[in-house]
Amino acid sequence: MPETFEPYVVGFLCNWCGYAGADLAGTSRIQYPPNLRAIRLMCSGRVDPTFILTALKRGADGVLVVGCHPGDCHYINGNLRTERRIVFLKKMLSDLGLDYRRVRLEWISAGEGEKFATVVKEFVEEIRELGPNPIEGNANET
Amino acid sequence: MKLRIAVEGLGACAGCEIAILDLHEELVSLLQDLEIDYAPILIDRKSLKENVDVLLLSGSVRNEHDAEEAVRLSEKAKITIALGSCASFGGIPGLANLYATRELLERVYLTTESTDNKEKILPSEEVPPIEKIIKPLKDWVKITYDLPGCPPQPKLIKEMFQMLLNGKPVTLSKKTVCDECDLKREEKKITRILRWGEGELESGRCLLEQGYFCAGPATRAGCEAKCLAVLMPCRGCMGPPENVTDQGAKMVSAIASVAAIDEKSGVDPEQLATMFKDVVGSLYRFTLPSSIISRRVSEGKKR
Amino acid sequence: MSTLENSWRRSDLKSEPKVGVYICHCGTNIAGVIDVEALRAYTEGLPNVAVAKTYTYMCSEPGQQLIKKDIREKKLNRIIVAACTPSLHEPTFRKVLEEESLSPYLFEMANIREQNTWVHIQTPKEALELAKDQVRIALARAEKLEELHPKEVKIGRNALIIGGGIAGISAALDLANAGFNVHLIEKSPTIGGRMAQLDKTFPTMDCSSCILTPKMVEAGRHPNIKLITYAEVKDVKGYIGNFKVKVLKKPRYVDEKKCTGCDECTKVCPVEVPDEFNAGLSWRKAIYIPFPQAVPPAYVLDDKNCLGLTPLACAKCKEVCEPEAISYDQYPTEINLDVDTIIVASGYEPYNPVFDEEYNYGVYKNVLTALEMERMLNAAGPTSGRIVRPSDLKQPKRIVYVQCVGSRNERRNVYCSRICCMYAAKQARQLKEKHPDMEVYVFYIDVRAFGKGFEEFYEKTCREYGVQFIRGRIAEINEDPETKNLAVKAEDTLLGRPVELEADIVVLSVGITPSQDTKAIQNVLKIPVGADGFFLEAHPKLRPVDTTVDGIFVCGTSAGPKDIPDTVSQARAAASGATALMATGRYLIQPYFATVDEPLCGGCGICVPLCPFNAITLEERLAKINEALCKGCGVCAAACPATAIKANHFTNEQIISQIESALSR
Repeated sequence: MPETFEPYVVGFLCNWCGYAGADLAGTSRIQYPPNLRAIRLMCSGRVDPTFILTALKRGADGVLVVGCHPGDCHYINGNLRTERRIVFLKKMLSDLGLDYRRVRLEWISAGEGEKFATVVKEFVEEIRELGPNPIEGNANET
Repeated sequence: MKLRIAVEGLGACAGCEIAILDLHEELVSLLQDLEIDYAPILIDRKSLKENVDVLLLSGSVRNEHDAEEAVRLSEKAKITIALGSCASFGGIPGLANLYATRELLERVYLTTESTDNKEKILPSEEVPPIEKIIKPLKDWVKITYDLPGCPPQPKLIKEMFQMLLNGKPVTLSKKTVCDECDLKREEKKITRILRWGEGELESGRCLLEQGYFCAGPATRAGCEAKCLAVLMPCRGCMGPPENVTDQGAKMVSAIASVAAIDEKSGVDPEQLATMFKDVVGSLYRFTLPSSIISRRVSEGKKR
Repeated sequence: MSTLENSWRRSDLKSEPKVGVYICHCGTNIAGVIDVEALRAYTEGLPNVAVAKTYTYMCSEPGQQLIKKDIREKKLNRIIVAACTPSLHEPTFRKVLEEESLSPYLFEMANIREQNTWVHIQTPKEALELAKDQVRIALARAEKLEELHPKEVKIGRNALIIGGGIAGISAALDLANAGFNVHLIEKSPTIGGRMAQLDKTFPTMDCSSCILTPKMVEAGRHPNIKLITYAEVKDVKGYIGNFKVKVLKKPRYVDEKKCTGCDECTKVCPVEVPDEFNAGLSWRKAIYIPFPQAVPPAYVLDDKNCLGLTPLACAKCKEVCEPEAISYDQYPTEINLDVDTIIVASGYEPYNPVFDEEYNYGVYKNVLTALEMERMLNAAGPTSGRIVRPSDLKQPKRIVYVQCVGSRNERRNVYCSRICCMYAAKQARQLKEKHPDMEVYVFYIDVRAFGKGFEEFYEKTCREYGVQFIRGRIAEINEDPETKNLAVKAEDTLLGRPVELEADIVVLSVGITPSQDTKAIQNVLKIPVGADGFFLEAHPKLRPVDTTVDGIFVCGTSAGPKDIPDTVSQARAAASGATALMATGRYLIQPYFATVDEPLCGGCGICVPLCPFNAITLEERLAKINEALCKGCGVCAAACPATAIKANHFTNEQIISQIESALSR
């Protein structure tokens, strides 16, 4: 019987929206799976693709980036910068053989605690379907 | 006492050796203080007999013979320097990391258009076994310095020799190619991505701003932006700048951040991404093996 | 605030990190789900951890004392508290570090409550593993934290107020009375704004002009208020305490000091154009005064409609001007101001229903907007206060109000404009006062009478004045081509039956929309605008008049629909906010700003257009960041292809160490 694999997801949450939304899920006691390790940044625009690649290289099965809804960014349009970077990054990841669904960008406001929990639940399930990160220990077959 | 040098190319094209020759007359004066003991292509000596002070290794480690030679030769040198982009980062051969070994062998020996191999034989006797992936030289032997470039600039090779002769560490520029490029910067807003040859090329203006992919912003300086001086976009052969580990990730970030930056411009970022044809090949032309992901992986392994 | 720079000890940082980790039980909030002692034991074994303790309530006084004692006795130089969210208690614990002369930026929190025990109640084992990871991540970051210093900026005593309506005037008076210097900029030739166009105000039925004009006069002659009318703010550069403002003043062609208001010029002017003040219901001349009580009390020559100034086509007004106040030799002037704080009070525009085909506004003569009716009601208005039908100037017998025009509508504006229920009730009452026999119907969706005295006003309007409020939307308005009467079809949803009425006038209760100036001001000041088009406040509950740009405040209808009492409250709040900044004379900027490592910068210029606050410029192949403008979002640092920009307190090294630590189990 194959053991179920527990996905390990790294999250980058923006201080004003994503992180606050996660806090609201907590205050409202909305339960979600314990697979997320969150890192707080001031703005989702701070997310350098290098961070996402580092997380994937180190074994993260999924990477979640959470920012404010367009138009609501505390720093006006930082979230749009990260949106564009992730569009290009996903293309690069596909070309490198990774399933681009391992990187997910979500807009979750400070008032959307319920949405935060739902997104984490759904993402963890999606990653469970995709399987573990193929990077470590992957060698080209002869 | 002359500084004893050995030069060897592994999976190499000999461009780095020619670059040493391109020092022209300056090589003559350097040879007062340098003794080149072993350098195939440059000197007619069949093997390295005694230990040397500096080993310059170029080329990538493509097969087991390359790996063995790298180890054997570097044991005979006080320091080993990775000469050229192949040695420093994996170079263009590093792009083979996008394919499975089987795919590479089949293409080379079976499916190339001019190959006649009805028995479908993959050679295995005279040819050393291929390494599964290309890794930069520093993953095989201890490398003290990198001197990147494809080929390395003769000027930088000369400076390297001078630094070594003076007992100084070999240092490279901390700046990016943009610092050495004379094209005019107006405003970094990218609304299109063109392939070389498309569109109307405007001389005097930053190529990236015109829509041509130029790796200059994420490439180490030192080459005096010679390509840009003749309006060829930088391909990134000097590798990532001082503070950068993954050249491609930074170039993606830079371009995407200013892509369709004006919401009013009506350009959709998804559209721009589709305009960018060969993302990995452009971003990691010389540095794929030394990048974070470093090779193509296969999904679908369920534990 | 203490002078932080001097009081922090720097010697501790030269040595290895000595970290104190404090794990809070938070009563049973945390301890009830995970074994805090196991967490503590795990933490103790981690590198660089000098102290690992637990306590029931870390935020309490004894909890804080615990940290302080250990800093002193064990010479700790990094503190981690594993407890609730930093949004709640980061400031609390930062103060604890400050009080022990340790930089508050050497503090890190692990959120093991909101983002762990409160959401993983059913999986306590996994929650403990998560808590271990969270502490380890915080530790990796703490080791890389740096002692940062907030930057001090000087603030002077000059304020700029954009907009001279009741909001701008109220804010100006509060600031001027407090002794600050105010520059009040107004786009039209007079201050007073929309309130000057109103007849009466609800619920007191005060005459609007009577309560407004004394304030206008006070503002006009206050020694600390400089009035610049017929002018717009064109450019603002700089930051709090250091705003450089360019104002463009249009030529009035009339000397404000010489004009006596004798009105002779209008008598000879041959040009007539619709009068904006009377909502287009009457005419004015090209040379005019917007209304008699205008401040400044001077006429203005509208050069767009004048027959011509270059070359002079008419020049009659100058001929008859005895005080010689008219001069055609005036040009737009640029005024440069240095100010320390800015208050935006640029007002609103009434919704224009011309595209709402169902109402046929602009097609049927007898369909009016509420502002047009307001002017008609006013004794100084186009009809001297008589109510007439525009089609035949006869007195109407039946008037129908349509509520929520342009508001609460998915196709137009989703929001409620807050004032229309009350102003419709007010106007309906006024109509009944003038003509007790007139029938007045108000078709509404809801009646929003929420303020002080509003409910009583509405009830009285129905009961005593006999205005009929019918809950239902108007489906159709059809004009009889001969009589120009309006056949109104609607549904009475409370009684559940259709209603058909023939009305003499239909009044559209138009809502509040952002003014055209909002976009222009947004471009100049770079303050955010919400999805509804109004200026966005820093926090909807706790910071309703601040913007995200330090030193810039916003108030009144430019920030969203509201009535006069709320407008005045916000204006005075904005003045209070500006006072708080200017009174101390100095301001501390959070040190999260970005810095450029110049030896690494190649001058590619990618960072420059990215900064939403225009903090980055390219000078001689080097990016330069203005620390006072930089808000610390980090977008530039993430984009920099040379990794030459350091985002303080969220550096690459810190974040990468957090990622590596997260995945190191």
